[in-house]
Amino acid sequence: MEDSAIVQLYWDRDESAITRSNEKYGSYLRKIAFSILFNRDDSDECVNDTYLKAWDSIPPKRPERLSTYLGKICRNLSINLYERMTASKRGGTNTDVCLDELETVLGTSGEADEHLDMALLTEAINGFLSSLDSDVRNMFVLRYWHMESIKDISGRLKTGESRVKMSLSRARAKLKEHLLKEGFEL
Amino acid sequence: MRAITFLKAMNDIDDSNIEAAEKAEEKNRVTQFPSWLNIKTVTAIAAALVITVTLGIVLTKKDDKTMAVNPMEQVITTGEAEELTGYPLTVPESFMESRKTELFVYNGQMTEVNYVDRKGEIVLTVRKAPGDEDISGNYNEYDKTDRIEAGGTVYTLKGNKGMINLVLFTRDGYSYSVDCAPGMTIEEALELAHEIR
Repeated sequence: MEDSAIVQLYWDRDESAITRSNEKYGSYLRKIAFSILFNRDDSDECVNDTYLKAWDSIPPKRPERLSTYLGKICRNLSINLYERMTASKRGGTNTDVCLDELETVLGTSGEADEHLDMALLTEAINGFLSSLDSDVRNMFVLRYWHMESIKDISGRLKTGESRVKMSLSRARAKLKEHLLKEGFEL
Repeated sequence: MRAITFLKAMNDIDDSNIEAAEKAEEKNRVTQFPSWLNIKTVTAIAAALVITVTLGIVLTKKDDKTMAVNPMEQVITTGEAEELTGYPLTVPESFMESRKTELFVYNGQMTEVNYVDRKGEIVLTVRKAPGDEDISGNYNEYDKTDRIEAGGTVYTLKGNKGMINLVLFTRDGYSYSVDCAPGMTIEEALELAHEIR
């Protein structure tokens, strides 16, 4: 079923919208959630909550790209759940490794985060991504949006793991420069 | 800045960046078909698809809704894989420190099960498909190759430095491959292979 037809089901308050969403994007969403949470039950919970959030937000919204619309909701719910579950300590999951990598350039201080304008930060990240070569941009997004492992990224992009690691390392250094230049406190 | 704050801000990046990364993934996955899916098979499948679509025949049905055959489909349970392939699949839930995490079905014929450790690394890949060809897609050259018969099944064991990295065998008309990058002992390999049906 076309995305527009599924969105129309939401607008018509037809509950089959959720079934159709799950048929088309269930695997995609479960993968996003699992990459962050590494737990099937928690992932299923986030995916189910994703459909409820979509139900509550469509209408008034009418997303053109349902995949990324649902994907963003699911990723957001998964990260929030991850943060609640690991408030005291990290456990060595893939998400933990991603955070460790980012901390090498972002630091660990959260003092300025309370007053941070998230929309501005997202805009700065978009600017940073647009400055990257397309291959590196794909690697960066697969690593820090989709939370893929280095091995999976190297397999999908048909390149060596060492090249992926090196490219990401350089991209993170570039990210630090970019954010500092944009006036963010690290 | 906390890294988790950055990850949250990443959430709303431009859709085009998310989609471009996913397309890169799809493009690569097409090239990851197993060795048995040679050009003749691809051509035959393509021809069959064209004919089928032309005739407007429903290829598969699920919940009374029509669905197109997917060259590679991710599923959640072995039961869903069995529905697509039509043959039973038995694999262990976990292996060493890894867990059964990803299941894929290729063209409704070959099932692939990936076992992922806590770092998100794939440590074991099990494949099953009808026939007797090598379906591993692993073309590495190993120091040693042995053939061992156990319980009426002949196992081909390949590996380096005294460890087993690849196990190939056929049983009851199906070909199996067990690919373990970190390596396992012969006993572990045979025990694992015996569990897989």
